[in-house]
Parts: sequence; C-alpha cells; structure tokens
Amino acid sequence: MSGLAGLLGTFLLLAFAVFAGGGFSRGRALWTLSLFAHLLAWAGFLVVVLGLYAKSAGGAATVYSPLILPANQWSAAAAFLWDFPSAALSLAACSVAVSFHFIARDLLDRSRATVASLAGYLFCILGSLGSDHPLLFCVFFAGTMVPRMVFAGMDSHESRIETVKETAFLFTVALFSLLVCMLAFAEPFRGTLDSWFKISGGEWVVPPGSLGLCLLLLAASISAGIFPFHGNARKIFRMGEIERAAPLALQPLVGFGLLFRFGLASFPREFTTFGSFFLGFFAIGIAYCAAGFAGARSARDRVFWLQQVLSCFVAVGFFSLSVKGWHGAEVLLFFECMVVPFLLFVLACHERRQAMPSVKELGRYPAFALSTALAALFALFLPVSVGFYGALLVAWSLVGRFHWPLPFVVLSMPLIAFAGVRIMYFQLGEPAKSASSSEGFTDLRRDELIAIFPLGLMLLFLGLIPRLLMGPIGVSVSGALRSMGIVD
Amino acid sequence: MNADQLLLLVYLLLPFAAAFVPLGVRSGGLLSKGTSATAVRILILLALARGVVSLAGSVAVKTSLLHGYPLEILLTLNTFRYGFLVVAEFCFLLAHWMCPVSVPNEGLIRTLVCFAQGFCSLLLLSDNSVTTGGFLLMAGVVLFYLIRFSVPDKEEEIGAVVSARVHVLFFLLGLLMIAWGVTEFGSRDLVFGRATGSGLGLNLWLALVVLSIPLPPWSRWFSHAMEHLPEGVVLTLVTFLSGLALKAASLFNVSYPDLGWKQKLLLYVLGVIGCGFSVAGLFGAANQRRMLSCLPGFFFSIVLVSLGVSQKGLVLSAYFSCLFVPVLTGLALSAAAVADRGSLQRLFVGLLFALVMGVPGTPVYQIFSGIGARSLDLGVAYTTSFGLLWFFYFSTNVHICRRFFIDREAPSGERSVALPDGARAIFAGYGIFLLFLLIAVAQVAGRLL
Repeated sequence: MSGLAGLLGTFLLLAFAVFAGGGFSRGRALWTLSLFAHLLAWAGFLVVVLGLYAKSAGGAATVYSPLILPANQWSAAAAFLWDFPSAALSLAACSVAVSFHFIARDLLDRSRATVASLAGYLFCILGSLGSDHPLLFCVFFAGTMVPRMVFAGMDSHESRIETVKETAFLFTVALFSLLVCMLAFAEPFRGTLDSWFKISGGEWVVPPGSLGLCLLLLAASISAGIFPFHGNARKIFRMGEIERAAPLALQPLVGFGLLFRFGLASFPREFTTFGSFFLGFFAIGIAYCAAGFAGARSARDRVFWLQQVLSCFVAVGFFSLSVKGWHGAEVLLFFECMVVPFLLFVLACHERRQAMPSVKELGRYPAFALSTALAALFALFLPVSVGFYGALLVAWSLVGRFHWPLPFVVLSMPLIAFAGVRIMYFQLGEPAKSASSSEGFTDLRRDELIAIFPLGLMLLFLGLIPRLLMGPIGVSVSGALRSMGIVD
Repeated sequence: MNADQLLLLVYLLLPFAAAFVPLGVRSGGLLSKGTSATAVRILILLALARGVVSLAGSVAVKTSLLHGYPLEILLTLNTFRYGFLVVAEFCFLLAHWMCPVSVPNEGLIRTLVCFAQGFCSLLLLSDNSVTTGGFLLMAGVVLFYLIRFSVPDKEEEIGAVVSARVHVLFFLLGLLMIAWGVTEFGSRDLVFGRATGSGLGLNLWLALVVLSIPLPPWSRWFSHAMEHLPEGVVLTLVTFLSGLALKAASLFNVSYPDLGWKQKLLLYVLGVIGCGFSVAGLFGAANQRRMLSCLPGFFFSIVLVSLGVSQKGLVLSAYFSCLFVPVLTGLALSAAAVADRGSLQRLFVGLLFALVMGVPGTPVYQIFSGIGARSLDLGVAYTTSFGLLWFFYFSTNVHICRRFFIDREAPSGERSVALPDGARAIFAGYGIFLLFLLIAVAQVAGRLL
C-alpha cells in the first residue's frame, strides 16, 4: 500500500508535466491543477512516511517495477524502494514544491513552461530518491537536466545561454561518468573488468575500484553542486526572481541520494580505504564555505554559502562511514532541502519590498519579524532545528577517529555565528536597503504566509521534538550500515 | 512523576508559557505576565524547600531528546542550586517591575525577559553537557534580541555592538560547552562528572570559565550594557550572567577537583587583573550608572580569584559572589531610582551600603573571609595580593559613599526607572526585604554546603 502511494505520488507528477507541457490549460486554472497535483503527491508520500512510521522505522516500502529490460535478470530487479530517510526527503521536497506554488503564484500564472518544469523536476527528484536500481537512477538523473536548464535559462541575471551551456556540459559529464561507472562496475559487465584495465601482457594500470569511485564521486559532486563544483550551483542564486531558485535548491538530494544508496554498496573497499581523505577534504570545505558565509556581502550569497556548508557537513558525515555520521548526514540532508528553500522564500519577501522597517517598528509587522527570526534561528544551527542535532552527530562521529579534520569542523561554527549576526538584525537583504525609510512597507501577504509558515513551523516542530524525525532515520541508517558490515 | 517533579516541571515551563500569554501591563508595570509567573515560581520554590533543603535531597526531571544517544534534558534541583534560584527569582521579579513602560516593543521586551528567566533556570539545573550548550546557544539569541529591542534610539550604535558581542560570546560558550562535553564525557553519558583528564578537555573548560565571566578590561560590552540599557534589562542580564558564572564555577567541583597549580594561577591572575580594572573604572567613572556598573565586574572577577585560591571541594566564595552580584545590581539600581526620598528610602540606602561594605554576617564578609583564609595558607604573595584587593575594595566603597552622600554635586544618572508615585516606597521596602533575604540565604548556604 505504502509503495503504491509512493509510486502514485511520483508518476502523477510526470502525467501532470506532460499535461502542462501540452498546453491544455493555462493561467490560474493551470496553477490550481498544478497545486492539486503536487498536493496529491505530497499526500502520497505522507502515506509512505506514516506507513513506515507505523510499521517499524527500520522497514521499507518497496514496489518492484519491471520497467526496464525485463528479459535481463539484472534489470528485471529494477524497483522503487522507499526507506524512512528517502520517504522523508521525498515528503520534504513535495512540501517545498507546494509552498513554491504560493510564493511564486504570479510566476506560475504567466509561465506554462515553469509549471511543467517544476512538475517534471520534482518527478525526477522523487524518482531518483526512490530508485533502488542504478539504471533506474540514471534515467531520473538524466531527467533532472532538462527542467533545470529551463529554470536556469529563463531567468538568469547574466548570460543565460552561457549558464545553460555550462549546466548542460557539467550534467553531461556527470551523466557520462555515472553511466560508465554503473555499466563497468555493476552488472552486467562486472565480470569482464579483468581485461578492461590491462596493458597487453603487462601489469594493472589503474586499480578498477578506484577509477569507479572517482567516476561516482565526480557524478555525485557535480549533481549535488557541492564544493569544489559549486560555481554552477551559485548561478541559480543570481536569478531575477529569487523564489525561482527554490526548486533548484533541491538538487543536492540527487547527488547525495546517489552516494547514500549506491556509493558504499558499490565500492565498500574503496570507500573504507580512501574515505578519510575525502572526509578531510570536505572538512576543509566546511571551513572554506563557512568563511564564505561570513564574508558574503549579499543575502543571496549568504544563503548559497549556507547551502554549501550544509552540503559539506553531509559529505563529512557520509565519509565518516559510521552510524553516527550517516545519521547526522541524513538528518542534515533533510534539513538542507527544507531550510534553503525556506530562506529563499523569506529572502524573496524581503526583495519584493522596497524598504525595510527599523528595529523599533518591527512590532508593527509581526509576520515579517517572525519569519526573519525563524530564518536566523535555522541559519545558525540553533537547537530549535534538527540542523543542530545533525551537525552535532556529524562532528561527534569524528571525535576519537579523525583527529585533524575535527578542528576545521569546530572552528567553522564561530564563523557561522559571525555570519548570522546580520540575519539576526532582520537584514537578510542588503544593508543599504535596510537603512532606508520604512514608508510603504507592508507585512507579509496571505500567499507569502501560506508559503513560509508551514515550512518554518514544520522545521521548528521537528527541531523541538527531534526524536520524531531522527529516531526512525537512526534505526533505518543503522540497519542499512549493519547490512553492509559497518557497526559503531 | 511525583508531586515534586511535577512542581519542578511547572516551575521550569512557566516563564515560557507566560511569554506567549497576551496579557497587558497594569499598575505602571508592577503587575504583568512576567511578575505573575515569577510570583508563582517563587511559591513553587518555597513548596520544594522541604525536599531539597530540609531533607538535603534533590528533585530531577528527565526526558530523552533522541533515542540511541545520551542526548537528554536532565534537570536536577539540589540545595546548591536552590539557594541561587531563590535569590535569582526575586531579582527577576524586580527586573520585571523595572522593565521600561510605554516604549516601542514593550511587549517584546517583557516576553524576552520571560525567556531569559526561563533559560537561566534551565541552564543552572541542566546536567547534560550538550543540552547545556544548547541552552547557551538559545540564551544568546534571547539576550541579543532583548538588548536589540530595549536599547534607546539615540544609542542605536552601541546597542548594535553590544548585542552582536553578546550573541557571538554566547554562541562560543555554547560551542565550548558542547565540545568540552563531547571530549570529556562523550564516551559515557554526556552528564557532568569527573573529567577524564585530557589536555584538550581541560583547556576547553578553562576557556569556558574565563569567557563565562565578563572580565574587565576585555568586557567593554558589559560596561556599555550596564550604562546604556534600561534598568530591568540590565538586571536580567546580570542575573543571567551570575547563573552562568555559577554554572561554570560549580563544574570545577564536579569535574576538576584536583586542578593543577598552573591553571589555578592563571585564573587567579586573570581575576586579580579584572578586580584591578573594575576598581580603577569605578574611581574614574563620570556618572552614577557607570560607577555602579563597575561593582558587578569586581565581584565577577572575584569568582576567578576564589577559583584560583581554592583547595578542594565546594568553592563557597565563588558561590557567594554569584549570589551577591544580581542582588547588588538590583539594589543599586533601586537605590538610584529611589534615592533621598523619605525615611524608608534612606533606611534602604543605609542598609545597602552596610551590606556592600562587608559587615560580618553579610555575603561580602563571607566572600572575603573565605578568600583571605586560603590566601594565608598559600603564602605571603597571595596574602599581600588579597590585602591589596580588600583595601582597594574598601576604598571604592568609601569613594561611592563620598560621591553619593557627601559631595555637593552628586553624580547623576542619565536615566532612572519611570516609577509611579507610590512605587518608590514599594521599591525601597522590597530592597530592604531583598537585603535580608540575601543574608539569610547566604547564612543557610554557608551552613549546609
């Protein structure tokens, strides 16, 4: 039952994307249908999450889906499988998409391509989160490229064509890497590797597993838009209308989904051998991105660097190859896919207003003040958000095991505190703008309230009672790692 | 859950519940949601007295934040903490009364004072290191907004600087507490206990203690806050900082009873430097508020001095200092508000200076006698240093008395509490009550601990 609800939630969006792209409906009617479709998808994943929660947190909802090459034994096993973390991430992604309908109502009213791209993009993300087969994942992974290019191409500030070309190039590289990796290191070609990397009559030139690991990591880091491949990801934060960046901010789900689901399972020996190097690399990345966060001059940059910090934390947690680290990383991934769109929505509300009220006048605009205060609380990893617990578990997983990367992780936190000061001044936007008169300033409109507060309150609620989300994720992660022979 | 635990739970949650009650201010600020909640909290503390003080027991409430990890909220009320909380609650009551009225964001300020009050008790009672760090992180945000919203318009820039410093300081303290907890107790249950003795853990604790105390000359934000913020907010801030200093100092007993002499010397030297700068600041103060702001700095520094000369077991001088600082600040601010009006007010001011001078039986006497006795044990250098400290402290009190009561042109405050006509006598009466309460609590604590 749960599996079918997940399948329905995923493929309904594909059907709607085709419908919207076909031009059967336009304007407000299309917006209403789109909202309805996304709400249905959200409800589908709510059923999955509740089903898993009620059954047992360590369980999984599986639907075998013989969609690809059923004649072949390997591909006949293609299935959708939702464990608790992937179902929770899918639900979070759907929540963001539903909220997006309200914050970007005008945009969706006037642009049919945006409506179709949103549905198509979410379909691909949900599909990649649910895929339990590498080939199925590749299909969805490839699918994310088109709507992403549509989003980026329609509204980039500077040189749209260049942005689209760059995005297309990077994705092609990532997809190619992934396909080679999957075909070479998974069935049906796994047994033929002996002859692939041999010079005739000579020694091994490349240890095959290491090459596969590099290809996989290249694909994952490009698709997640993570340091050091963050240049292209930054462009989405420079769009004319910042709310359009919110769906694209879900992109790390795809990259990290690949790592968590197929990474360690495909290359256990290589990850164990080289994991600590990558962990150190991303620990330095955390410090670098935190410095970027502290030094950011614009609010958009601030949100971008915060996303990078979160992504690096997730990567460090992953490479710690421990239950604690993975638990923290999965929680942070959930937090990231909720909080970055939330911050973008709040920022969009700021940017729509020509002037900011002074601190003394904030009492007159309670919704605005509360939304910005929530943004500050979440951006600083304070204990009212699950981000705090995720970061804590990741850092804790390093104690006693990885001595030199730990200081980078710990020292980056004060930088985040410094960076957060400006947000706490209710100056998510530009300082010059904040100093201006507040004449004509209005509190949040109804659409903005509906877009912002459900997300914010859900994050707050989960942060105040973290075991609701983190308990089942912990059980699931622990089970998954145990099945791969890793126990803390 | 027994009745005591239920009472403790209500006590802890009350300020947070009160913060969300949309209740207006009555009687010129004397009756508000904050004062009502505080009055109930005091009653609850009195109800808990039998179990905690008479029977020398403890009451604990516990809830798990996350299954599978020792992340839990563990709050324990014992005799040691009880004494401070009683005094702190009465100070918070005064702080609620002194909150500014008829100013922009008045409701927000009162709500944030409630939050600060709630976090103060949570911080003091918390026994899990990570949760304690979490409370510090949250308290930083609360104090940031409290300062931000309460600073007057003309001092906007100072308010911005002070609030930013407080936020960063508390963020660092929270991180240090979490890092220390994970380093020292991560292999156990994260609950404060005997430290494993790692060098990193010890250094983290030292940093935690030093940063917990607004130590002159590195704490200009504290002097600015004392000078420029409204009285109610100042008292809230000082009470919170006293709780924090007590928490940090009390961890010494729990985790490092055998602290090395080098670490103790470091704390002692920093404390003496802080005392010296406080005294110098007091002599050079231009106005009443600035002068009064130096005294809490002095007693905060005394906490480090007492840790520096400590031997083993409980550091009573540090405990008395932390008890004394919020009351002293509250009384000084009250005295500034009610000075030279009627016989009750004069009696209050006279008693206040008797308290500050260190008449035997008062906490100041207990503080100095404790440090003095240990200084004599430690040799001539410590004894000389202690003698100088006491001499300068005595001189500052003479200086304050002279400036306030003898000089023709007494130093004037830049602002005082906007009290209604009948409230000055109430403030004076409450001040006298607070004086005797402090002495009583200090005497009981001196015998029980």
